[in-house]
Amino acid sequence: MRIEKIIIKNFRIYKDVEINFNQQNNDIHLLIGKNGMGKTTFLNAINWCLYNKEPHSYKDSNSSSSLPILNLSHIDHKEDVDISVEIKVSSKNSKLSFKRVEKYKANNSTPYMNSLTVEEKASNGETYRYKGEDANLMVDTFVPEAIREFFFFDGEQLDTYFEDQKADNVKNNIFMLSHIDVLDNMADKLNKRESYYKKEAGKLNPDIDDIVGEIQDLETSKSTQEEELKELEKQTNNAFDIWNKLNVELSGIPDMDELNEERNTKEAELDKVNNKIDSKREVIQEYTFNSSAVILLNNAINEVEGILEDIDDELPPAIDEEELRKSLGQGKCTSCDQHLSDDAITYITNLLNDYRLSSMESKMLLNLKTPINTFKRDISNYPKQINSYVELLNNLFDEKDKIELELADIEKKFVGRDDEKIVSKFKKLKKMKQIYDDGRDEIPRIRVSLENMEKEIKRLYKKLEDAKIDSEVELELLGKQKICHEAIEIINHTMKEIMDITKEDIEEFTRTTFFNLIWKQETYSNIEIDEDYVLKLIHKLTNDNAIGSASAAERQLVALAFTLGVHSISGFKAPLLIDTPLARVSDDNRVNFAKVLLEISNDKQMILILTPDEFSENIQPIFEKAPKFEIEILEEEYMTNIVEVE
Amino acid sequence: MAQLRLNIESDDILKFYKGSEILNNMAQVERIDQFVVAMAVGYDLGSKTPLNGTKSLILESSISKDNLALLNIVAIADTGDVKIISDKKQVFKIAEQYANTGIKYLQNIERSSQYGEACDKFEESVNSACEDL
Repeated sequence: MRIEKIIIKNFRIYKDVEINFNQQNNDIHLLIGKNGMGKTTFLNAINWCLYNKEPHSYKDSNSSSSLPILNLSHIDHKEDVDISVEIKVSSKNSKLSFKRVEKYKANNSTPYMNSLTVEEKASNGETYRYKGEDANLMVDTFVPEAIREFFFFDGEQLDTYFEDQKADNVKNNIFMLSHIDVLDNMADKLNKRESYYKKEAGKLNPDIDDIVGEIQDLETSKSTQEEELKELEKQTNNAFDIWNKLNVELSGIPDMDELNEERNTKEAELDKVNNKIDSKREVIQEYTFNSSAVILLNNAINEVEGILEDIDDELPPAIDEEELRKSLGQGKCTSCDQHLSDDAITYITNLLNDYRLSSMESKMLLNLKTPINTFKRDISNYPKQINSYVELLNNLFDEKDKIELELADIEKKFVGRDDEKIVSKFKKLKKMKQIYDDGRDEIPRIRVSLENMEKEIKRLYKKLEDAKIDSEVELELLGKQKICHEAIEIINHTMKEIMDITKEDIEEFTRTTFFNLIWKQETYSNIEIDEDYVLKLIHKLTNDNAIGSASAAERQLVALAFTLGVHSISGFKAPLLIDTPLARVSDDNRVNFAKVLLEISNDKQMILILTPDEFSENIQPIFEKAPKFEIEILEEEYMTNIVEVE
Repeated sequence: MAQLRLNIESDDILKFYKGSEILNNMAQVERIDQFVVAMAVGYDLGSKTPLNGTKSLILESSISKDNLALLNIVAIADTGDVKIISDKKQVFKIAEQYANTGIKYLQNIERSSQYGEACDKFEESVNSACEDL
């Protein structure tokens, strides 16, 4: 397959370009132009046409990819404008035309339509037209996008191919060429399924053994409890029968134990009453003792009280008898120091005679009045208080009498009984009653417990059934997981095998091509791609990888050989378009590499985009017969044209 | 001047004060309360018995106002002369003689009674005196 013609209209700096790539002896074509004149734009125009992309960066800021791809001369267009790039391709059986058109309204630099149309002229003369996705599929028959970089690329890529991406790049390319992405997708999906099955199986996690163990434990407990219940029912019924029989036998006979208990209670009550009586008697005796003096002195108190009432008037005023007697003795007043007259002496003498009691005596007698009143009040209260105490005491005695009578009645019941025998029977009666009562309480509890156990056992059996189902599901899921796992392993193994085959094919092709083309046959012994997909150029002398120390031209040759290998293995016979392939090599190496490119063009169409420097004097003879096109700038129109030169 | 005291006639009497069933029938009874009860019993019996000997029993400072009032009342009632009140020595003497009568009476009761009975007898005599009021 070869490119017959490229037509570019209004794409960036190209206004109207039409290049016919007519085949001569060698199918090699040269586009020569200075830097910044549109070499990269030409490469991008091809990519844009086929893939609607411009993968190669612009070094010239004036034609930056941020600008619209509309030709600069049309930026301020007054009418609607179309951009188009058309690539006409021919093969043995058909001719293909790839044409992408982008439409702009007047005065608007934003496209309103972008479409690719592919026209096929089949060998039978029929013409088919494809648009949309069908058109993209047709592009894939020419150069699929995934491998476009091996067909349309910057020559720099040849120099840096093994530096920038190294093994990963080689591996990715081999993977891609192996066409195993379907297998890879499948492995990926199977991985997800495997994880899903594992997760789902993990969720089920049926604990059958645990459930069975629980059921067995419960059934053992249930069986034990059933036995216990049976025994308890038997004991309870038996106790009830004996209790009934003893009840009849002991009917009318007091229970000696109960009677004893009653007697003890009454005796305790009697002790309590006696204590109360003693206590009350103490209170009475204390009260009597404390009151005894005033009661026995009642007559004396009354008599003194009477005397005090009788002499009340005689009690002297507050005069000091001592002072009066002293004044009389000195013959003058002790207060004012005046001499006492005879009349005064007579008066004082009479005064002292008239008052039988001294002031001190009078005061002492007056002081008796308060205690006398207290004593009389105490005497008066005594009968009432003592009667109250006596009444309380009598009540206690009544209580005591009552208890003693009750005790006497109890004692009578003891008389004439064969205590030991009856006590024994009563003990048995009580024991039987206790067994019967306990049984009556315990039996319903055990029955409820048994019912609960029964329910729990049923629930566990249901759980067991579910667990068995879960187990089957789990087994099924685990089976599926295993199948997935094995399938993944097979796929991975197959992928590796296919990739190994592809790797070997590329390796072989690269090796053969390299050694066919290399100008220094003695330097290198082999080219190999190792297990880690590192492409190695083996030096003949050192037997080591010499790719790092090889010249730029040798490295480019390795990359070119690898690229041709990719072409061969991919099955696409598309042309090779390289931008500036010789820029990084010079002198003899440039000549040698140019010769290699010429040689390749015997089998494959090659379009080389060169700078005038690259197309140096020593190169020109090599490409003497190749059609040449010159990229020229029409400055007044801000556009570039490409014209064929002789 | 030495403090006045209430006296009894002998150690035997003191022992009785300490061990008497009637006079010790209540907890924490004071000696002066016992003496006043003995004096009241003696006064109730209507006779004074001179002390055949002297044994100090109670200091004047230990006598409460109420008990001192009773001692004065007995002295006034005994002499019929209110002026006796200023003669404390005499008041004490009269009280001692009545108490001496009373204490011997109580001794007789206790000697002639079973344990516990003396208190009842004393209680009865007090109640009986009360009925006569």
